[in-house]
Amino acid sequence: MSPSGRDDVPERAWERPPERVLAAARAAYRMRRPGIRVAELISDSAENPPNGLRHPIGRTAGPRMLSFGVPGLLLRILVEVRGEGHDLSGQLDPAGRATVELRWADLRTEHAIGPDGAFVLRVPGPGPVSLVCTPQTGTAQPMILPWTLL
Amino acid sequence: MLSQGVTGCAILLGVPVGDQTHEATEVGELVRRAADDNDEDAWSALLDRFSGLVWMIVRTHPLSFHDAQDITQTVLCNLAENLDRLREPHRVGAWLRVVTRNECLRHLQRSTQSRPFAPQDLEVADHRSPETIHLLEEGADRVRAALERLRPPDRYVARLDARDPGLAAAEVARRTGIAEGDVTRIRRRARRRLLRLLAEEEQG
Repeated sequence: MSPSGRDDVPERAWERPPERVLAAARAAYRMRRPGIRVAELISDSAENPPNGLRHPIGRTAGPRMLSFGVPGLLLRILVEVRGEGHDLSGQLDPAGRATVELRWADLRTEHAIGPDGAFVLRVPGPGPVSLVCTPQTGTAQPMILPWTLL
Repeated sequence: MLSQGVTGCAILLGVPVGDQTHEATEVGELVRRAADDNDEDAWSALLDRFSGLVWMIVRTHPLSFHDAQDITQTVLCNLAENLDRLREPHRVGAWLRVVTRNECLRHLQRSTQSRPFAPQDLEVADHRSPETIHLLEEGADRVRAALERLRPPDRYVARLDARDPGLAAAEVARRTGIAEGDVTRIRRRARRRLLRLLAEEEQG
């Protein structure tokens, strides 16, 4: 039995994931931001089908809307596919100057956001992405978005 | 060797008993070092220990190889981010099991939105009615729900069989970490239990 579960598969017999996955996990460890509050996923248009449909079949593919938040700060993101990657259009609520850090694979880029709290970022390729939002005005605390597959 | 009763008392008293308790303590310590001491070696040791578990769970879901990689990466990155937020660091394996399974199910739910079709298939007449399509989907949903109620390793083997019927025992063993000699027995047991669950549900 494995140390922390109930199945009877010996853990050391498991095949390891490909190296690119492990390299990204090592990079994420180096980029982690302990002490900052992790935002909750509040809504995801890909997971909440429109009311009245008995089964998700029939939903049309289109831009995806996500919203994340911590008490006092909300971020709405529109996700659009762009080639191999994605374009993210974000709006902070309440609006205000902020810095937004984009984390993807082993890359980390920081972007200054104007007083309207809106931004557009390009994620260059596939794979999970995470943002760190740090408001520069007001009383809202920084928040970190969980790594999310777009 | 300790009797079951003695083992139970020893656990209640907080006395480490057996390999399982020792390993849980070791895992808890690795999480603490990775979270508090910024110890990359501890993080590598956690990856050595648990990345295969995540990969195995993901690979037993009906996902493409690329999606499986992305989901595994998402789960491991979120573990890195949450190392200092785990309530029970020694139970990181259990946490990973739940998070991985949820991430797979979310992805599968999302992927129903955009199913690629080969252009020539669009020309083929579809004689199904909306009712038959819906009934088939409901039946498939019932089987999927029953499958998720199976316990590991039966669940892992049954998922693979649902996705790739007739997969060679050696391949099932490779993906799940089960000994090849046990695959046939677990396959039969999983099928029997699945049929029982579906029958129970039908009888209400």
